[in-house]
Amino acid sequence: MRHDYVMRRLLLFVPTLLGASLLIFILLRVVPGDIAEILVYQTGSESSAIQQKQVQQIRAELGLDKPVVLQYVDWMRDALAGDLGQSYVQRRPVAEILKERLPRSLELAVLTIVLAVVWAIPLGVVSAVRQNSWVDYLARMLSISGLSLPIFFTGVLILYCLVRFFRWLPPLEFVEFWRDPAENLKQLIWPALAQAWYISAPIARLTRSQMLEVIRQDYVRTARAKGLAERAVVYRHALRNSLLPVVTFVGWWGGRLLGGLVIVEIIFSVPGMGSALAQAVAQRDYPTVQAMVFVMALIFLSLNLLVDLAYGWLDPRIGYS
Amino acid sequence: MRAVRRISVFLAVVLLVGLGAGGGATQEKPRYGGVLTWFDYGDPGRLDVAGIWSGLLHWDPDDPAKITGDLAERWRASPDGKTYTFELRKGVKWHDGQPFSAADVKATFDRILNPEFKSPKCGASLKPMVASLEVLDRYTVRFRLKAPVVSFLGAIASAWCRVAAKHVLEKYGDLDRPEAQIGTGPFKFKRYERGNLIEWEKNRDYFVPGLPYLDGVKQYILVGAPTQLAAAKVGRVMLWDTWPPMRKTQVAELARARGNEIDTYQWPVNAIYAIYMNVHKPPFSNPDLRRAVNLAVDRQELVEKALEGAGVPCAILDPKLVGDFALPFEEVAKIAGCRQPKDQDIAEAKRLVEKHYPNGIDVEFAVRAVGNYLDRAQLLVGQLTRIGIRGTIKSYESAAGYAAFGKGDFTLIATQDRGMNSTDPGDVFHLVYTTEAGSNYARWSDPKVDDLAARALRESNRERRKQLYWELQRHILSDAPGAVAVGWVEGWFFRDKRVINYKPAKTAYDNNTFMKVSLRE
Repeated sequence: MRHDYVMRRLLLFVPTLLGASLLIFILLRVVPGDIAEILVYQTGSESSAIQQKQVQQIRAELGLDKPVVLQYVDWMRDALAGDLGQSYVQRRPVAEILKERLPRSLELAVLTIVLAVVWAIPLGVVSAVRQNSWVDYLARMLSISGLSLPIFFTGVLILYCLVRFFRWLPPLEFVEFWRDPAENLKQLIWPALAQAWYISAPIARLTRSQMLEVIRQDYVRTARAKGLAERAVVYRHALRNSLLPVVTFVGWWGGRLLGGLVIVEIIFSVPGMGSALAQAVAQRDYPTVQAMVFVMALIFLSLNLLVDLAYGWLDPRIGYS
Repeated sequence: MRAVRRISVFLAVVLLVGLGAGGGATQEKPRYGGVLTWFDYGDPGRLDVAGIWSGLLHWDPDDPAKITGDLAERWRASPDGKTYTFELRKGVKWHDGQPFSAADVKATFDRILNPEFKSPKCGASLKPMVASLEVLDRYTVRFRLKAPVVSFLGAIASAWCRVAAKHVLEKYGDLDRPEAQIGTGPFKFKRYERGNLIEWEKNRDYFVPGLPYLDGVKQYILVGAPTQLAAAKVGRVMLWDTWPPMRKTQVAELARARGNEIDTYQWPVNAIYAIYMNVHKPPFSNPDLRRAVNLAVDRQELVEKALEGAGVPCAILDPKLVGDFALPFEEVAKIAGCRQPKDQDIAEAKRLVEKHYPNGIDVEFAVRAVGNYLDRAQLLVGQLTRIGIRGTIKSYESAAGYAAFGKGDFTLIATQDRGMNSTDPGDVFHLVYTTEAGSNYARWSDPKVDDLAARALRESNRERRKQLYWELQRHILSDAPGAVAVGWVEGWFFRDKRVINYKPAKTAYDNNTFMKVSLRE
């Protein structure tokens, strides 16, 4: 049954991915300024007949003079054959850019989620178990502050504190994890912290409200009545059953994170996919944007599927018919 | 007698110590080694900013006001001033080991002078001057000018006019890609991690013996101002000297954090701050409307608020850079539009707008979302509302903005700085104001401007040349130009005191070869 479910969900990926790629393909061509114009006029030169001719030449070279539908068909055909195209701006295969940038952003996203979960779930639990105590108020205050402070502010605040109190700054030169894990973490821990503080707020609040609901259920009272230790009651019985919506939320955030990391990537000088995507959009580097959005959509859908599959593990009553 | 002797010995010691200290301060011995670090605010359009290429001539790194030979050992002008002959250094090698020769110079300048090639800096300067270029022998080239031009050597010495390798141009077609970064300069391109850093390493075969001192240069890509400031505060970046300048408050914050470890200074960035009106589109196809804007713009307020006072309001030429070629302040301050208070000019501007648009008019103000351009645009909206021009801001990403401006797809550009190719007074006119100017986004064509600019370029008598430029400035400031000159841009910069012998040039990039720069331990 679960196998059929997974297959069905995987098949549903196809129209979703097609829709996402088509949407971004059209949107990119609707916004003003195309890559040919940007390449010709980027140095700030004034238009002339010669430059208009150059624009036409570049459009022809890049196939931008064809109807949009044909351009899309060409792109999709190549993508299915494993060729994501060449970046117009960087003049190298988009696959190479993805290979370089995607692992960095994935690492940052995983680190962010781990930090957020490790911090937010215990905070939510403590807040619920000690409802209306000073611990609860403090935890709620921390959650609210994380939610209400924009990420750019939190990021700059972290930078400011590091400089002000320690006269230290994370490395500016990015080092891959496999080359020097310590140096890599020295750089990534801070943007992960800034982003994690923001997303930990709703996770903590959600955990708290779910815990408050579950903790009043009969089976929890029964667990207490039969003499189980409070820790076992809270963590084995109450928390596990409170986690379903939390898992959904974390999974959803995990998918969103790849694109949403752009601000912390810029503040902490991490050359990841978020900043590359922002730059590619600004320069109308169509193949790069299309490929990145496509990969992000794929990751988002895969994470959603994993979250759905995790439901069955968390709550055996859930079936996959 | 003993007392006199003691005093004499004491004075001698003081004098010797004083001389030693003074000598040490002015003549600090350069040290070999170290990597200089600085930053850019985004991935650059060009990767050669740290001295990959050399020029025929360049501005002397020891005295940035003086032109000296770089790849050219000697040069001479013909008596009529219409030809310049350059004798090139022998034994110079490109970074890939190929020999340098006159053919490389010809390939470089033929490319720049090609009418089909876009070169808004070097090309904009040289195209009005140079008729042709010929190779006399393997190490001699001759430029034939259209007319005698006194500013020719200054233009050739610009960092925008460096010499590229013929074989590289033939292989790659352009110099944008990392593989094409093959020059003859003091530093070789090492690597480019897009969005993170560019790195150059010492060229051990550099044609000037003993140079450079540094082992390398690293330029971090730091997009956000808070990141740039934080990096400067902890000493990870050692200098900033180009556009966009730092804000006054940022420099003050940096000075508080670093104390006497850094020097901060205010310096011109050799760029004009202009407001462009598209003369081929209503309402600014009407000279009355352009005149109204020219009258109403409060340059003093824009410089004071948008540039935090770092600029010269109403200057088409900055006296700090071009001396008395700039129209005297006393005269500028009396010209309508530049004079204070503004009441009389605003009333006249309002009358001109009402004459054609009794209920006022809505206009889209285009602006590239870079630096503090959006703040500048907001200020302009406020100023022009007073005369009935109601502005709405349309912001563009940097490159898309240039594309729109280049095509003429705008009504008014609220702000745009244009950096000069050299410090020659003629540069600004050939870059912004003449019909063929490289950045004449307004498409303004005024025969008087073209004539005066061309005559000034050919005029060899300094006094007559000055008068021609004065006349040009008067005309542009008081007419209905396509580009309103808000003023000349200056800014705040810093330099870490570990950096020795770094002398900012008057034009951005001219000083950035770092050939004589060294670092203290």
